[in-house]
Order: sequence, then structure tokens, then C-alpha cells
Amino acid sequence: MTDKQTDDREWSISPSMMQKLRIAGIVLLVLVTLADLFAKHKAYFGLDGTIFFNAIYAFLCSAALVFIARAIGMVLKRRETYYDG
Amino acid sequence: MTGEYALPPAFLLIIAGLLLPFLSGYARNFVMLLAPVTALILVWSLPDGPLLTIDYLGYELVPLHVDALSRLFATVFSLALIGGALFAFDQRKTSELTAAFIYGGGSLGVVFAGDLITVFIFSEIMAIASSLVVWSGGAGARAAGQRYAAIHFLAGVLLMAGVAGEAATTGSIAFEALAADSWPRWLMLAGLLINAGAPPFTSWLADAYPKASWSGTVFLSAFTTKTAVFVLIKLFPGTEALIYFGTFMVFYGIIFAILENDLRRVLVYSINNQVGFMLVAIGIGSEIALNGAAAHAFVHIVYKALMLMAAGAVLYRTGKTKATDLGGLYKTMPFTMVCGVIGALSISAFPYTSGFVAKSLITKGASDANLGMVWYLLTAASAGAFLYVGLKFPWFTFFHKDAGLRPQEAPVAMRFAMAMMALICLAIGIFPELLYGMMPYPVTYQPYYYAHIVAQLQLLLFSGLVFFLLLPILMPTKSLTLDFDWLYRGLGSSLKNLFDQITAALWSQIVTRVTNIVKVGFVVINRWHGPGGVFAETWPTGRMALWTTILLGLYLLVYFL
Repeated sequence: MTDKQTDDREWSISPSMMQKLRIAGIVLLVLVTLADLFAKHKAYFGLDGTIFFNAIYAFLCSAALVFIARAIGMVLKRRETYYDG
Repeated sequence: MTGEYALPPAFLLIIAGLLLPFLSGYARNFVMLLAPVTALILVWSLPDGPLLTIDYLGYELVPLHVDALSRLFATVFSLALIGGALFAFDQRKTSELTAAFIYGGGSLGVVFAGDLITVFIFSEIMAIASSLVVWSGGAGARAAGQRYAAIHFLAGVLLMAGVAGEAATTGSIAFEALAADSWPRWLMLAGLLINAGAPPFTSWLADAYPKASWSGTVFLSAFTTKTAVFVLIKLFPGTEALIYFGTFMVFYGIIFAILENDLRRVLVYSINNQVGFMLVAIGIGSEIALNGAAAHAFVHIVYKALMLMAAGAVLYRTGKTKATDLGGLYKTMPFTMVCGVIGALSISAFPYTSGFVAKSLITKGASDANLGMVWYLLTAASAGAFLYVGLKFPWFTFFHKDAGLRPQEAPVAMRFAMAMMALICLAIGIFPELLYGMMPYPVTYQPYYYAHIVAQLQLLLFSGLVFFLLLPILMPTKSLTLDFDWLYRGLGSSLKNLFDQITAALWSQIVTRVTNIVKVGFVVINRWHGPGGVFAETWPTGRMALWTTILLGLYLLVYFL
């Protein structure tokens, strides 16, 4: 399977269960974000004491890591048998 | 030899390993469990201090020296061996188990070493035995095992040269904190960094470990890199360079794991990532950071073994390890799935798992040391850890698209092993004092407070959000990512081919020229000595007389003059 090929297999989790999990995930995200309103923030280096810092920072850094990995992959990815001669 | 305790735990495990080929069935499995359990009991019954000394070539070797740090590492190495042995009950290759026990024994030998020569000797035992564990993976592991052995023997040479240099320049072989300020110490540091998987030798882990068998990788994940971490804590705490090496490893592990399709390789890349955290902590060098490095090594051995057990059970049942070939296994392997998820949550440092209580010490160490950039980078990496391994491994193995595989649940012994490791992950997470009580320095830090738990949950859940939003980009592909090993597998191979071509061309030129010279020589010889040549003629008597007269005349002339 190359980057351009698609995976046509069925999802292992049923669509209805997937929908429930999606809603549960969104509820969790909202709850954990709101929970920050009641937390006592202590700044060691400035930004880290800002409200919602961890949520925003995690989102941006994780997305950045994925895109950086993708860019590196475009340069370094080879076929699976590359070393087999 | 002096000392009250004649049998160090290392020797017990090595002897048990050597006994295994002579046993079979229940007897073999009984010894496999009894030996590490006895070693663990022995570890906790030994008092602190040097307990055994041997005079050797004018040096006093100390093969058994106990302190809090060595006891901590010996405990987790014994636990890894207990879990690994239980997991490997169904392994038919006793040679792998023999090698694994000698390997584990070697690691206990290093952590109980009281001098640098003993450290070197047991490190070499580990290098040889671990190479045998890799080779036990079968024909596909042969080349990777050779590369693995070559790299670890290089590390051993550097370590030995450093130890010899240290002994020659200072006269000391003491296994104690050193400043990295001389060639012998730099050599020791280099050897240890190779064993820790630091750049430019990061890729031997992902090259060799996944080639081992379903049980071999579990053993391999526990000892080599963490033994190097232990020695670095003892020898080079506070060495600033370790912060840079560690930070590189943290992100290297994440990037390559994101790109990887083979899920056992993903787990191995995460060893680079996690050892990176430990190196950063050792580089910071404060008491809380060193506690963090030791604690993180402890919990990492347990949850990494657990995750590799889950991956090993899947490999054992399906013969597959690639994300593109797996999916939907929660339906028939629910127990393995639950254990794998507990391991994944632990490595991601979810609150109330072991990773949370250990990683918190390292980030606290960075903030206490006022290392803002390091703190921000480690926090970013903590978020990334959930994405690249905490979610990627269980999602693509047990959920995602249904691969149509319907394997049986893992065998009973494997389930016991996974349950044991999962319980340790949860027990340490819920009762952190279990771990903190074993630390080399007293711990006053309390990881569980409202703001910290909320902050960590935000980091993890928003990282999880990115995983599902970017899932189409994160889909693994059937491909290979060039790594540092390309330097000796790709570039090295190309350079060898180029060298072969150049030497072949040179040789051809030399042969042609020499042949031409010989041919010309034959022509000249033929001209003078061949048929019709001057020297081949039969000289008449008159000419002989003439030449004799000329030569005699010349002689008389010269004599007269």
C-alpha cells in the first residue's frame, strides 16, 4: 500500500458505537477544558501559567509533530524492500 | 576473595540460564520462574555497601556493591525477567531463554558493580548474550543481529579504552560520579551513549529488536538501554551534553514512530523517546531529576515490556506486526487489548498510571532548574507521546479497520505475564509512594494535585483530538523510513561497491600494464636470445679469438695505466 492507495476494509467499530464514542470524546474535551477554570495556575516560564495553556499547546505541538513527520517522511520514505537489494 | 555473600544475584541468573538447556517442560519453566524470584528476594535481603571483593592484577574488584539506586534497578530487572519468563513459557527455543537469562544476569552484574572493570565485564556479557537473543529470531534476524553485535562491541571497546585510560591516568577504577573532562571519560561516555541509543547510534534499536522473536523483544527492551541509563546516573550526573542528546532522542523517537508501519518498531522507537527523557534528567543532575531518571527507567521497563507482550501475543497468534495488516483484534483478544491499553495509558503518563508519577519528577526537575526551553520541549513531547504510541499502537492493532483476523486470545501464561505488568503499572500510579520509597534520594514531591491532573489531561486529550482529526495523514503505509543505519547499510554498502569497482578497475590496469611489460620483455629476450638472436648464434673460433685478444688488450691497457 503506498501513500496514494486507500484502505477499503470495514471499520471494526459499528457506526452507532463510533458516534457514541465521538460524543463521549467531545464531552470529555469540554469537561477537561472547563475544569481549567477552577485550577490554580502557577507560571514558571510565563506562558505556562496561562489559562487553557496545556490544551492549546498540546493541540498545536501535536499537529506540528504530525506535519513535521509527514515532511520528513516525504524525504526519507522508501519501499519496504529498499535494503533487500 | 573476601565477603560474606558468595553468590551475587547476577551469578544466580547466569547459572540458571546455563541450566535451562538441560531441562524441559514444567521443570524448565519452574526454573525460569524460580531463578528471578530468588534473585529478587536476594536483592532485597542484601545490606548496603560493598559485600564482595576480589583482588585482580593489583586492582580490587567489587562484584557486589549495594545501594538504593542499584537495588531499584535490580528490582525492576528481576521483575522484567519474571514477567518475561512467564510470557515465554510457550517459547520452544530454549537457546533464546538461556541467552535471555545470561543477559538479565549481566544487567544485575552491572548494577551491583562496585568498580569500572566489573561494569565492563558484565556489559560485555550482556552484549554477547543479547546478540544471541536477537539471533534467536531466526534467519530474518541474522544480518540485524550482526549489525547489533558490531555496534555493541564498538561500545564495549570505547568503554574498555575509557576504563583503561582512567585507570592509567588517575589510578582509580572507582564506580562513582566523574566529570566528563578528559579523553578516557569521553570514551566511556561515548560507549554508554551508544548503548543508550543516542545519536548517531539511535537506529540499532529499531533495526535489531523487532527482528527478535515474540518473546525475545520483551527481554531485549528491558536491559541494555536502561543499564546504560543506570551507569550514566552513577558516572555522569549533571553532564550538560546529556540534555542535548536526550532532547534529540525524545523527538527522534516521536517522528520515526509516527512514520512507522511495523507496530513493534513503533514501540521500539518509543524506547529512544523515553530514554531521551531519562538522559535529559541525568543531564539536569539535581536530586529530583535523578530520581526522575531512575523512576522513569523503572516504570518504562514495566510498561514497555507490557506493550511488547501485547504486540508479541498478537504476533504469536496472527504472525503479523504491521498496522496495515492488523485491526479489529479487540473482538477476539479482549484481554490482550485491555493490557495493551493499560500499557499505552502508562507510557502516555495518564494520571493514576505509573508513567504519570515518574515523568512528573523529570518535568519538575526541569522547572526547578529553571530550564524553560527544556520544559516546553518535554511538555510538547509528553503530548506527542500519547499520539505516536499511546493511541497509535492500540488503535491500529485492536480497533481501526477490521483486518478479518479472528485469532484466539493469548495463551494463559502470556495473560498472567501481561496481568502482572499491568497491575504494577496501576499500583505505582495509584500508590506512587511504592516507587518513591525506593528512590536514591528522598522524595517530597506530590504528583497528585488538581491543577496538575487537569493540565496533564488537557495535554493528553487534545493530543488525542489531533490524532483523530489527522487520522488520514497518520495512516501507516507499507514503506520503510531511512534512518541513521542507512550510513552503514545504505551509504556504507554503496561505498563498498564503489571501492570494489575502483579496486577492480585499478587491478585490471595493473594486470594489463604488467602483461604488456612482460610481453615487451619477452620480445627483447627473444630478439637477443631467440632463434636468430645474437646470443643464440654459435660463435666461430676466429671471432672468439678476436674478442679474447680485444679483452686482453684492454686489460693490459688498464693495468698499465
